[in-house]
Amino acid sequence: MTSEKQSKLRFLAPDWPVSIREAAIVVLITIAAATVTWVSRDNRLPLIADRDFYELELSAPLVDIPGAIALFNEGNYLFIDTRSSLTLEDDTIPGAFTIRALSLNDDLYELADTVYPEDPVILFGNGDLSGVAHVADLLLARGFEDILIMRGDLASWRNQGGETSPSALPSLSDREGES
Amino acid sequence: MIRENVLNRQGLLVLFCRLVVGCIFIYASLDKMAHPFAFAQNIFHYRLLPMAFLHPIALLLPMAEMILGLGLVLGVARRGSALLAALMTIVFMMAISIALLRGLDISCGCFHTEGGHAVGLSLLLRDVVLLALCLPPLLCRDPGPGLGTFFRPNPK
Repeated sequence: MTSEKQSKLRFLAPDWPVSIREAAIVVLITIAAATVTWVSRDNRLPLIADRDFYELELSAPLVDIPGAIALFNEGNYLFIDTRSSLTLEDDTIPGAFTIRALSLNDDLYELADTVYPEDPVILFGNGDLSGVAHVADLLLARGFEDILIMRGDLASWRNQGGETSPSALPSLSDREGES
Repeated sequence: MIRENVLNRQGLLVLFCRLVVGCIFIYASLDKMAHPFAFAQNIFHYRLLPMAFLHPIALLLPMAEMILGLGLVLGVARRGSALLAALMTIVFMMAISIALLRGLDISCGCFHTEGGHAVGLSLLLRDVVLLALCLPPLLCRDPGPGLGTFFRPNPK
């Protein structure tokens, strides 16, 4: 009986030392390959996660930079630069309008004939999602419906092949000086 | 020396399981490797990992899926790859079970980082089948045809 059982199970030959050794090799190769991939990426995932980034309740969906570049090339979305520190020397995405949280009403007033709440818009900033998310909240409250938030900053945009051009817009401090 | 390769029933079963599991793992890794930020968010939604491990796991897990998937498809280090695939599947099942017990309404992040399958019992059943498919390559004597069997000395 025992020999019959043994003959039935003859095809089974678990070899745990070999399995564990091979698994360890696969793990080592994985670590090496993941390190090489991480180092060679332009838009790198930081090794330490920022809790605020994940806890932030965004009122608009995120779009990554390759997705934003694709939408830029399609030309259906208006790009909105939300950086409050934007100056004439800074580059921005070609054709982008400037709407900043600190001067939202003035910026919207200036763009009243250009940007309408029905327009689909992509907001971008300096990589700090909370700042862009704040502008998204304000725009949603003013009737904008189709809003996307670009993940990443202009440097990442440029590194991944996105076009840039001079901002050609006065900074907030210039505007305060004028008034 | 090229070893004579005879396809018997056991070899075919192991080959079938290797190809199915390997292709599933390779396919599962592609979107995660392309969108690591989105995958990290998927992992975060399970609320299981400390923040310090979130991004390293988001980087390592898809790469592990890709490499062990290739190992299984090509028949290289098939026992080790199958062992890791089985262990990972068990971890996925535990994560899904905990999410279900907590009543989390989240996307599983199994194949697509955005708009994927919602966590549910059907996912657990799918993982049970996947786990069963990992066993023949791990336990059977005959490895089935693959790169690992060709250049091995003939055991005479």
